[in-house]
Amino acid sequence: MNTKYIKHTFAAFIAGCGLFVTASCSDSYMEELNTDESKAVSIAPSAQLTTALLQTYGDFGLMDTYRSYITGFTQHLAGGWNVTNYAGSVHADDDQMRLVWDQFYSVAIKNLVDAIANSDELPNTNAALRIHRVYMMSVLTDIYGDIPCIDAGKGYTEGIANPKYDKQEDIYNWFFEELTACVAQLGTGSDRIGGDVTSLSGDAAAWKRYANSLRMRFAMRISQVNPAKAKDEFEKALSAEGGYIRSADNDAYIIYTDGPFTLYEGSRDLDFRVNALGEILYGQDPTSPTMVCSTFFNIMNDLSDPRLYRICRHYLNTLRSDVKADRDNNFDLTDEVAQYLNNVEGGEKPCNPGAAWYSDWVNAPANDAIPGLQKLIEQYPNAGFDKNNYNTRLLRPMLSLDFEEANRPGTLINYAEVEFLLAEAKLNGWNVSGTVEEHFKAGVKAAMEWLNEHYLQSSNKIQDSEINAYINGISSTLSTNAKEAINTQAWILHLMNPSEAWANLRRSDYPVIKDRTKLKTYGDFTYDDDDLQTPTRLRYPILENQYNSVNYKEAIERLGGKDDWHKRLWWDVADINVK
Amino acid sequence: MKKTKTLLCLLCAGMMWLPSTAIAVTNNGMSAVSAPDDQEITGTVEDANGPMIGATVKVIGTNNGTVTDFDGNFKIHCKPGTMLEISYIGYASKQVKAQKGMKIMMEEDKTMLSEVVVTALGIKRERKALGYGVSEVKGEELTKAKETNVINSLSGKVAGLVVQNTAGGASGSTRVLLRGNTEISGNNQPLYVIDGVPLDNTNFGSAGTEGGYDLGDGISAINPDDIENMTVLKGPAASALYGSRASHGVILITTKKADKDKISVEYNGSLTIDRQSSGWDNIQQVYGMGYSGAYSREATSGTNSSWGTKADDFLVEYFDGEKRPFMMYPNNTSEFFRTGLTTQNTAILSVNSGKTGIRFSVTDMRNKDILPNTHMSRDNFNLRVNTSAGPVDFDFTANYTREDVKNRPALGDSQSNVGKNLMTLAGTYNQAWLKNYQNEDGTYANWNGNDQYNKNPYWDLYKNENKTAKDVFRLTGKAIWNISDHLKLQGTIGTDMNYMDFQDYTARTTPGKLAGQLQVQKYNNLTLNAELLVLYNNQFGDFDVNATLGGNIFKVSNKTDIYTGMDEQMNGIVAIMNYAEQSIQQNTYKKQINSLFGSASVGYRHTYYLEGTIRGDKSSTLPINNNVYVYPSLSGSIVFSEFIKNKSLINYGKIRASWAQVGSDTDPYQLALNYATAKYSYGGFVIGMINNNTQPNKDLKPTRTNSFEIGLEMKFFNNRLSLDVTYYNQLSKDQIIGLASSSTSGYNYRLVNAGEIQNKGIEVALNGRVLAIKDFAWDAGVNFSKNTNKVKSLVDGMDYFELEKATWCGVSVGAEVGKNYGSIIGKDFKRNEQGQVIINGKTGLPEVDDKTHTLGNASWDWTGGFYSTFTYKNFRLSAGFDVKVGADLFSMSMRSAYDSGRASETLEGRAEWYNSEEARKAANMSDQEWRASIKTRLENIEDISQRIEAAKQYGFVAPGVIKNDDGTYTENYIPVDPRSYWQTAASNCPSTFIYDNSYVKCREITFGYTFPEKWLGKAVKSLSVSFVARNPFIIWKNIPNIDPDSGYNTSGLGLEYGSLPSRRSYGFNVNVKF
Repeated sequence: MNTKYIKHTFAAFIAGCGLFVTASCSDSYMEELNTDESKAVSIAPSAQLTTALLQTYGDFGLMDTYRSYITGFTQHLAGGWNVTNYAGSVHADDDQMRLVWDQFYSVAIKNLVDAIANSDELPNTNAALRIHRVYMMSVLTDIYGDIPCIDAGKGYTEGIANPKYDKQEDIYNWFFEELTACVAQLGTGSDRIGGDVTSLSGDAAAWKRYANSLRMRFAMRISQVNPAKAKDEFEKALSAEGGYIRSADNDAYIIYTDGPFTLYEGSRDLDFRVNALGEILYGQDPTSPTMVCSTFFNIMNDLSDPRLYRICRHYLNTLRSDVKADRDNNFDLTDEVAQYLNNVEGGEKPCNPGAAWYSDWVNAPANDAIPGLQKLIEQYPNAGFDKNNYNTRLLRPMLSLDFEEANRPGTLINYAEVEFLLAEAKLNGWNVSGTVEEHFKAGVKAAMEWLNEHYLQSSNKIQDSEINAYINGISSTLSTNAKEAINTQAWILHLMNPSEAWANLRRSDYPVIKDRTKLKTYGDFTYDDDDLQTPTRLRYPILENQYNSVNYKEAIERLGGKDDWHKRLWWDVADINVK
Repeated sequence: MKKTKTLLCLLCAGMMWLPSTAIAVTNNGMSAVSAPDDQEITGTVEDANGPMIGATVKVIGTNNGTVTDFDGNFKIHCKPGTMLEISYIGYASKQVKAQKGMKIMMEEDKTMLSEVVVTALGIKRERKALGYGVSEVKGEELTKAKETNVINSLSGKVAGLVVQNTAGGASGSTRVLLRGNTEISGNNQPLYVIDGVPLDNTNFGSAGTEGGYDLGDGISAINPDDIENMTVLKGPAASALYGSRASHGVILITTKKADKDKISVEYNGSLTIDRQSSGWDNIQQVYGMGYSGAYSREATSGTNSSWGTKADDFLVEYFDGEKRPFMMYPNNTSEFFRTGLTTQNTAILSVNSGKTGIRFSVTDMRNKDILPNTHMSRDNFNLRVNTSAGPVDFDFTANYTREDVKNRPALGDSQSNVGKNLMTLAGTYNQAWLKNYQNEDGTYANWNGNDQYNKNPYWDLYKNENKTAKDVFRLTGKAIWNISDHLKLQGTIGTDMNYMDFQDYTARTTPGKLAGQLQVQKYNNLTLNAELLVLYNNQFGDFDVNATLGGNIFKVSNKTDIYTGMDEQMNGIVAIMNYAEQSIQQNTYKKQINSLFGSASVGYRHTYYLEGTIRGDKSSTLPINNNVYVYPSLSGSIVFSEFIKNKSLINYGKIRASWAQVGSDTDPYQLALNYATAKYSYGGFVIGMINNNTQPNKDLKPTRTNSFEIGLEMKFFNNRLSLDVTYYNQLSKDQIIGLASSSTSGYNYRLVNAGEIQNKGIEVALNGRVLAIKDFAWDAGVNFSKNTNKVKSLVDGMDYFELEKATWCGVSVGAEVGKNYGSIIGKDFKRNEQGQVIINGKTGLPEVDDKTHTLGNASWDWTGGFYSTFTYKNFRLSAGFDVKVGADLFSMSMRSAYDSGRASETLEGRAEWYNSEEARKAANMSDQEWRASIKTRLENIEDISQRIEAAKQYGFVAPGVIKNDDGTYTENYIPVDPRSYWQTAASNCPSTFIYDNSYVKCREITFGYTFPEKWLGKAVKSLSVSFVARNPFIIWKNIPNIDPDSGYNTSGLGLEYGSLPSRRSYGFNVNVKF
């Protein structure tokens, strides 16, 4: 073989190699290859609005924070293992506290920020996106305090990997500015607000009313810490262009479907179709239904509230579906149980905060003491209705299935709340038409009608006569302590809106709830906090210390050097009234 | 401490085996059996320096052979005049006629002094010409005591190579690390190259924080019987020519070709029984199920809590209505597991005719794991054809593997993890009762209040089911055109096609998934490699020249479809159609790397060698302006033994040094935002969102790893002892990492080029023949490696990067700046300056620090292995050991053992507390009143140690101190319920459950006998039988109850939860050749 031949071969090979590589080497080929064919490079901002709105109450993955802490802090619920273990025994657990934070920032806020940046041409949609960002931020700041707000969600759009923690006061100021700007912007474009899965149906005028009403809520929130600004903002909102929510027709809420429950797995797949708060309160198995707290039960009981046995029910079940709040296997024995308890125990004994349903054991009834129980045992001898303490659990009031169904609304703000805000504004001497009593009564009536409209079965709606009787009966509470009366009613209203329930409780310090420090402790739970009083905020996720350390440390400094969950938020100037 | 000493002794013992003299390959076929008509021939073998020890003397054409003794003498039985062959490594073999009292002079063979090893690109090179370290493992070492995943056999065999299996058993995957972790995130596993074609070693799925299944990897499809040898190329210098994919080292696998014989048939079979190795045995056997020292009213709650009453044989009614005595079942957990069985049968047909060779092998592997109702089978068909046409050689392989697995174990925090559920089952609750897992109508039999976190394990294995079916096709074709003696052109094309179906069925009424669920994951993975190479070698006077030039295209195209069905309609119909709610999720993964590379090496007088390589890659995963990266390497060696005249002490010596850089890319689709719609629809609306969870980076650069390595290779006493020492220093920069970030940025991770991670270490391998007396030989070897894996920097002020999060106690494992890779971070008890635990004066319970601390490290301080082989005549006994020292493990299994009152240590103070509670009830006092009264009583005792003694009469007294108002500390004297103490620790204080995970394990023992040829008929060429044991025992470990190799996946080190017991296996292996 001669050298010439070798040279030729070499040259041919090099050329071949070159061709071989360049053929599949062009930039456009490489770029195309690096584009995921199952994903899109852009999306309509409205689709992101849909996602963010639905996540608000539709993300099962964040509901543990609500259930484990907030419903327990507000003393709406108690007795279920989760509520008792975390809120009830004042036991801080990072994994339970951080969920709302993690989920909202990494889904809703991220998408809202991105969609806001991409919707300059769509002024109405843009305003709706911004209003919902304000709403989400208000939930976050009212839970945690100072939070990343202005810089949040801008990791890609603006390269902000470490957002600074804004002071809550600044955040509220920004809320007012942002809502004002959005109200002004709404209606300036010809675009319909696409992707609107709320009761506002994409209507710019409805969004204006909603935004102004939110502004009233936020104004009231700062009424103790900055009364002048509160008055100013509230009055401006009242007279702002577009008006506010003046009837139940204007209620702002997210509409959920009657789809199946998909639990944590659904959350991982971002399945936000159903009301996940109801889903989690329904629970995952028959041994963990949601129990009603003695505080909530007794306040309604003391005022002969017609909502009492519409919210609290006694169920017997050993089997339940996990795709829906199913009535087939939840046998409702409320009337018989209530009667039995009145006869034998001298009335119902719901769980106190910090107690589990099995703490201070209620003796199981004899099977025949409750005829319905006896009948079920005979009918289904293998179901075990009298086993595994199902019959004992039956004696504690549980949350009615009416509140746990998939398609229950996710409240943004409703007419009833607006009336309570007006009542308190008037009480504060702000420039509001009408009397405190008129607004108060309208609020209570609207609150009951809200249940009728959205929760209660047609056979079980609250009759007008019941409503009127109740309203007349509680008028006296208004004269005793109007602030207490108004905010106690707001608290009942907010049962299925935990973040607002807790925020308004801390702001108004009403209703008077049980003093946690005076309650019993039980061996089954960890009471590892020196201060057993109900916390006033939740702690930041522990890893913020590592991932956003400079900004986190600044926020911690403002809290006094420690991530203290007994530290009151900026707008929370006094302790909750306890007894 | 005592244990550490024992360990040291063992190691020293290992080292002592390495004495002073030469290595010779142990010859299985050596035989001294003689026929009566043979005569005893004696002789001496010598070289210029005197007698040679351990030289092989063999009758040509037979297996009849022997080795020389200390004085160079040998005896052999044969007819005088027959031809003997005398061989010795490094010397030219000699053939002489047998005669009594013969004396044979051996001469060193300069050209033969070279061991030939397979290096990068499959090029065979002399070992002495290499400027970097390579280790070889022969195929025959892998086929005796077979592992179901061949790569597990490397445990302890190669210095610097760490094998870690998951708790997933035979069907699981294996993590292999060469010289530690070089990437902060990413898989860090080496590249496997089989006959020049990279293998797709995709791990289809592994368990994470929330549990899951280990779906196995690609390398497990390789049949050990097809392996000729494995070459381990450590460090980037060795692998610079494989590019990015090889930045964690390369394991080259050369498979067998057809035998030289015209026709040969071989059978290799093994049968082993598998039993559980580590047991759940360090547990208390006093208290049974229940809470607070009381028995639950109904035996359907508290089944997984051992805080109940003493097991005193009283009758209790259980869930099925039956009354049974409340007694301890001491081996409850172990009895759940059965004896497993593994069979592997291989038949090999080899045909050789002129230039064409055909080898065909079929292997059938069947495994019944120790878990009931599990099964796995793997059938492997491998065809290799090599032929020549004129100057062109062809080599084709076709491999098909079919794998079926029934019931892979669920791992980690998975609710179906059988191990996790059995661990906390109270000792009074006989697991056998759970065999009645269903009611008459096929629904779940409620036994513990339908607790979804503690499901009936039998239900999970018999009613629920997961199935995997995998088909793997590997095709390679190679053509070599021998243009001249010095020039070759070689083209290789190879493809890997992996089709896998994983079906996970959860029956209706399963707690937590009452409506039932079916998930089907379909994987469609395709990789393609095409390569062209020009190879040149020549000799010019004293110079040897080698040069290579090549181009490569590597392409991956994977598709994954996940079908989920929820809400089963008709009972027991396992089809997606049968579900009310159906969804599909599709993912693609496509990338391509185009490369050009070249290398050149020069050798001078077989003494000095210098080699340089350069490679350029263009990756589709990087931004257009950053997607080409070029990296060089340089290495050299000096064979200094060439300067030594008297070779009786040192007969071979080489120093080597190399420097290399390797660039690396990343996964596709990470440069820009992309959007997806949700799996579900919401009447008329599009649910759309950003699909990225990791913040994309449009300015991404390739990762760079620079490494430097020096090594020394020596052989002493005529090769009887060999030593290989390496020091390396590796620095990876600009790592592409998905840095965990504050979710407030919108992304839980962001892709950045950041961080520096340094790996420094030393590797030592020492092998030798300890003794050789007549028919007896003892060979031993030891290897040791120490790797320091420092995280030098991360990014803008961040000092911690989370790799994996634990389910419990907020623990995470990550890279912490200034520390070794794998810091275990979590909370600890609050401590004073002296390190004493601070006890809350009110509750008597320890206070928990609100800051996190570094509680341990998951990287090994050092690892090693040693083996020893004894050969006597045709018997061979061999054992291999694996040592790993210094890594920590957060055992969530032990955490739950304490939490549930199962751990032995929870006994302390229990009886006292229960007595005290009875006294309290008798006194009709509340908890608070009672505690106050005890406190007063105790405080009246002045002497603190007496006070503590007295306190212990009322319960558990936590070790620690109480802070007084004046800032001083008093030793704690407040008795508490031991359950409160342990549950506080279990929910808040992971530091209690971090264990030193060091161990010494015996990996394998084989005892074999090779039948002398004469005994065999004409038809049989060879026959050997061995007793084999894999992982027969753990010599030493620190962690109670679980096996130290218990990670639930192959990436998250340092975490363990609900691990199934490890398996030990014993059995037989038969090899017969016709």
